[in-house]
Amino acid sequence: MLPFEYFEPATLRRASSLLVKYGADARILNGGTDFMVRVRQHFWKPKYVVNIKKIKGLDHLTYSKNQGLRIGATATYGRVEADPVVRQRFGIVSASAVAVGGVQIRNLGTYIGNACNASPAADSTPTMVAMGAKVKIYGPNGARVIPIEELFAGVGRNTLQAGEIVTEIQLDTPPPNTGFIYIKHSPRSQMDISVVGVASVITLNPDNGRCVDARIALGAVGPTVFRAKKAEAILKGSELTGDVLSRAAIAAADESSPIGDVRAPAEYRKDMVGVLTRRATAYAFDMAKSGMDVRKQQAIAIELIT
Amino acid sequence: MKKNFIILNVNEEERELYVYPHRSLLDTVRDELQLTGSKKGCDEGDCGACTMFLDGNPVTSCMVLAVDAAGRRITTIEGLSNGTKLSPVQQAFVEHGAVQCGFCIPGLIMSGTALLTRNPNPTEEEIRMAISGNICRCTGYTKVVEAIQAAAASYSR
Repeated sequence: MLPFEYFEPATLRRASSLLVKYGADARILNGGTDFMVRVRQHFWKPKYVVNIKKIKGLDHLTYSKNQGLRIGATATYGRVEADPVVRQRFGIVSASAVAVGGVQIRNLGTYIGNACNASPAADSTPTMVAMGAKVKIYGPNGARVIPIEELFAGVGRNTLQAGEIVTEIQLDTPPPNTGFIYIKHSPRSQMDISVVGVASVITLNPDNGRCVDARIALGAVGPTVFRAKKAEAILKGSELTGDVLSRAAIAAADESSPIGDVRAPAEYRKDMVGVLTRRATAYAFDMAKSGMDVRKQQAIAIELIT
Repeated sequence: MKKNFIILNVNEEERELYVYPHRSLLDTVRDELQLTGSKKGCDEGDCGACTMFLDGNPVTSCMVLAVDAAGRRITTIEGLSNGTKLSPVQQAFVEHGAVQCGFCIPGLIMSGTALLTRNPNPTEEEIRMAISGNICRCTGYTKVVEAIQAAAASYSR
């Protein structure tokens, strides 16, 4: 590993000013699971490293009815996965954590680090995008809040400005009659990178059974994790018949632009977007229709992931 | 480039040392503290041979900077036994012959121990999930799973 100068700022303000001062020569260290690999492989060559884990108040994991769930920048997957409130109210969030790495990686890595590194194959991100998560960003000119997908600029690139630090993810409490699922497709069930990841969140009108909201987020099949908005438009307002699901699946496949690599050819990924969008949406629909409780949904999600 | 002074709390002992900020916890523990039970397999967080506990949670120590681990509670495989008396998981690995070349074993024992500390009655599926971040290249995990199952008895008692 190439040497660097190391800082442990105690405040966001100090961390931010270090990032401004050293610009492109500086890197944030959070969970470190991407950082260590990329620095070791000389893919990143930071001269200055700013560890944000010693900043107080960044590791929060809180829930309230009004504010929903707040996941702090340095809260690890392991903590989120094990948290009883998350399990009870945001089952898909703890299930999506299980899709990431193995136990040891989850005790280090963070949702926010995963999002900021903007890998199109990031396993925790499609769920967040499909759930309509927002991120709060601290910066030299004050704080701002944006939808999480607006963080992604391209493969490995985010939209943060100099001195900006993402401090938390914000998730609203989902409405009743909502089903969630994340399906990860990869050669190995654990410790592997997704070939395709599909998160589907479906909300039904309990009176007529029609879909009132649909959010589908795709991973590993474009330069960023993104929402399949054409597929969503087909589902929204419709009765979710087999025909409607199939049309949405085809639309999602059309919206994807995967590359081929050692894990899978591009054509295969595109086909699998269709297959998995249909499957994920059918699961989410069934969950929403049956009024399945969050824990049960979580158990199914984990079973599909592992 | 200058070294940083840090205090590492390893196996309930405080160790003072000077390290370069870019040194990993794994390299530091192995090379500076001469605790070589934790192994360096892939050095990129995939194989789990370097598993240690940080504040009680298993982590791949190749993915942690030594400077970042300062002030936290570190447990290595050497910290599990009491002198020559092996821990229940270690003993079970011996009794079940859950070892071939042995390189992955310290990491597997750490993962098994972490699981049983939280969940003294795991199912086979839960054991397999708990060791999914540990790779053995000799062959099979069957005896490893059996050993952890057997060790569970002494945790749930």
